[in-house]
Amino acid sequence: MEIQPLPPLPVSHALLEQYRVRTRPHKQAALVGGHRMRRKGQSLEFYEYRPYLPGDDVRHVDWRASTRFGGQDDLLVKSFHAEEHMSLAVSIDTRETMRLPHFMPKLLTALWLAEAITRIALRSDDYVVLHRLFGSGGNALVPLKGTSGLPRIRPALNRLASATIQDETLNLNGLDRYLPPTSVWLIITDFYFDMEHQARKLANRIAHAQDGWRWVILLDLDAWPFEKNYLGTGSRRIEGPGTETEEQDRLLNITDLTLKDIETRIQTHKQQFHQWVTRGAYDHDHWQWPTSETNPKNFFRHHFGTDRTLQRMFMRGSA
Amino acid sequence: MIWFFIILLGVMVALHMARPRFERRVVSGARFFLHLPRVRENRSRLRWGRPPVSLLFFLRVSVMALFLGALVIGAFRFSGGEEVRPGVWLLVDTSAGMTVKQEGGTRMEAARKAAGDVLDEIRDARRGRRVCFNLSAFDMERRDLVTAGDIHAVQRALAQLKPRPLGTDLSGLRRLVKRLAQQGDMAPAGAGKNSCPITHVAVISETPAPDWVLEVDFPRIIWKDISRKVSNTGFTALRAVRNPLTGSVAEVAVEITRFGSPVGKVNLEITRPRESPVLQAPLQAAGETILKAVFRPSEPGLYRLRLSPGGAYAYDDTATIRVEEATVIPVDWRLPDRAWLSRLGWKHEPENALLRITSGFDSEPGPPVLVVGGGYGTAGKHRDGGKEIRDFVEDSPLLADVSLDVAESLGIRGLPADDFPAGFTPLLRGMDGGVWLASCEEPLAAYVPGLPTGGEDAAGRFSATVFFNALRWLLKTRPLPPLYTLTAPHEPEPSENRIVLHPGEGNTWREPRSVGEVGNLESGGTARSDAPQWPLLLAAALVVFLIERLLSTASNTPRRQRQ
Repeated sequence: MEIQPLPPLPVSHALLEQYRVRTRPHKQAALVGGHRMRRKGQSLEFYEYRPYLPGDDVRHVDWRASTRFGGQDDLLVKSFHAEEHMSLAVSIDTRETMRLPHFMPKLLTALWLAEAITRIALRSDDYVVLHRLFGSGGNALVPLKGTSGLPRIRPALNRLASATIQDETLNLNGLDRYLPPTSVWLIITDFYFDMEHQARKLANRIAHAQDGWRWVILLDLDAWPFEKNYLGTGSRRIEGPGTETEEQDRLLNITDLTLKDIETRIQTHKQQFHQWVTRGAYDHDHWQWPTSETNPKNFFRHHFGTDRTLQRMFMRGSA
Repeated sequence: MIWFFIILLGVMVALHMARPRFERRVVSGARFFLHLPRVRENRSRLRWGRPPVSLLFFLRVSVMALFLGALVIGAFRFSGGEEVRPGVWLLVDTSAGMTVKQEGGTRMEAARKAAGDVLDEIRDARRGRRVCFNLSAFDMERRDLVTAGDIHAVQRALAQLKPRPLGTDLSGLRRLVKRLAQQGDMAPAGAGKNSCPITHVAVISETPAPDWVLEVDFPRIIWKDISRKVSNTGFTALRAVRNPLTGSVAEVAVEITRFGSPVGKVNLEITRPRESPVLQAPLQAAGETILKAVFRPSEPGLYRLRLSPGGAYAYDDTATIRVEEATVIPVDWRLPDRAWLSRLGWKHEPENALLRITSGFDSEPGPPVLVVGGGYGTAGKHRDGGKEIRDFVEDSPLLADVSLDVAESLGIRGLPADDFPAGFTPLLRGMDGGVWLASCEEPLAAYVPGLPTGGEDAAGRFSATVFFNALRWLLKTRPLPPLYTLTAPHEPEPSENRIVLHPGEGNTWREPRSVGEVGNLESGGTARSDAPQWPLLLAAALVVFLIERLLSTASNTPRRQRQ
């Protein structure tokens, strides 16, 4: 299935309208994953400076602090305890592994999920930054705020997805400013990283993010069940990301034992990453592909409607 | 054809198994396979792979299933698995009429030539198709000479074909055509490679094509009447005129028929048993084309009859008849008065009796029975002074030449109708209801008032007439030796009085009638033939295969991300 342009979201906007971001008081942080959320209140107690996001009230821009502490193009805004706004960063893995399997690419699901979450958050007047996790070229960050950001979601996702797929350089530049304490960081990936180079770096960043009461959610898009059935047993010529440097004809004899071995290796690979990242304050979600081709829209609707972490993040409002 | 597909299948399997097929798979987790050892490229795959269950897999399975289905159907119904090849059944007339001379040869020679022409036409019309042949000779029976053979076998058998001194029976031909029409152009199941489904029937005969041939759509009939009108004169009937009581041949009536133009004055020569000619019996015209003669055999034995000049057909120029000795009729005479037994020259031999003469009715099985009443009495003594006739059966043979006026004057004492057993029909009754004459068809029996009186008066004549009428009627069913017999398939050669005088064989002046042509050997008509199924299955397999290849090619085409 084609990714670009991004097909329409399978979940209707009306359905998304029924979701809203629920913020919880600090004392209830343990119930929502251990990170502190802010509640809208009556007080205007200053809390901290944060980067300006399009849509912010310009009266809250602290010009003096901006010239003193901000970067050349950064404006700092005062934030107060009374604010309810959540900061949400959605990091999307756009590498070549995410563009497979062909019938239902993992990246398609990731983009749809990013769009759905962003729409809900922006309806609640929250901050969302869309982030391309890999690829050094271009602008990997697209900040959005409030309902004015709604029309910019799809163009932003299309632009992020159009990065050079062979570039597997981890790109975390500038993300820190969009991850203030108590923010939510959703990382959508398949974890098929090159462990020697990029994975360690990402794991360290994720681990660090959990400090400061940030809620990190790792969503694992697992297409192995389908690819295992797709491979079958017999003589195969395996192609895919990570084999480009190998000889052209990678001829293998696949047996059931081989598939079991590969499955174990993948699990070990992922477990290794989780061991690096865990600080006890992140959630790990798992969306597993079916063993045979299915309708991508039905697949997304099912998982979006039943994912517990998303349900915890959003609450369906009464009609 | 099936071997071609089997060999093709074997070659495909060999190619498939010999060359390793490494199906290309693009997976996102390809990097996890880097540690696996690669296989050597020349190693052939000798194990069954577990293909992924996908649309392409089912399409491939469908192709194989359709392909195998076409092979299986072709193997079991192979008459539908290849083109319907023509099958020709050649039937050649070998009856006595094929010896007729015409156009410098015989009709048999003309038949061989006509059959050869038909074979040549078939060879020209077959257009490379194989044609199978059956060859049969027919006269009064059908003899199959070649079955599912080729043209050369038919030609060899034709060269040896000879006519037989037998008649012609076309009913067997008609039954054969009906059976072929029911079979259609398919060989019966399990018939094997030697079967020859018949699509065409070619009849070579000196008999004109009958009307029923025109009503047959399948198989296609080609009827070649090779006869030409030639003149002939020959015996057409020999009948014995016999003494009805003794069965001896009193006279022989000879009928001679001329077909076509007169061949000159016809003479009949009869040679009696001691070989000296009896006479050259005068022939009398009995119409434009029929001559008759009668002669009285003076002694028992074989009489040879010869016509001269004959005609184109030789078998009807001579005939031999046997005149049997007059035999004494054995009877079962149960009347006390045996005068007439002696007078008739019969012998009382109950165990071989051809007739029973008795005075009463009984149900004893046996030969025909003549029941004789009490008699006519003597004049003036027992007569009742005459009685009027109440009714009579006018056309009864027992009343032939009977004077009813005399009957009324005799005062016959009839029997009450109730005295007759069931089955008797009164033939002559008096006004008092008494039955004077009666007969019964089953069992054969007759009643007369009495034995002939023997007088010269009316009573004598009446009593004798009814008595002998009854005897003639009762004795008509007894077997009598025929003057001659005809040759038959089990005895095809003439011998003594077994002659070749089959009806119609000497008629050499019929208008020839041929129908049908070989044409292009298309069976056509309303043949029952099922359309072959295997080409449809094969076509479906090819279509599915094409779809599978297109989808497989499309799915294997590497995707390139747009920059």
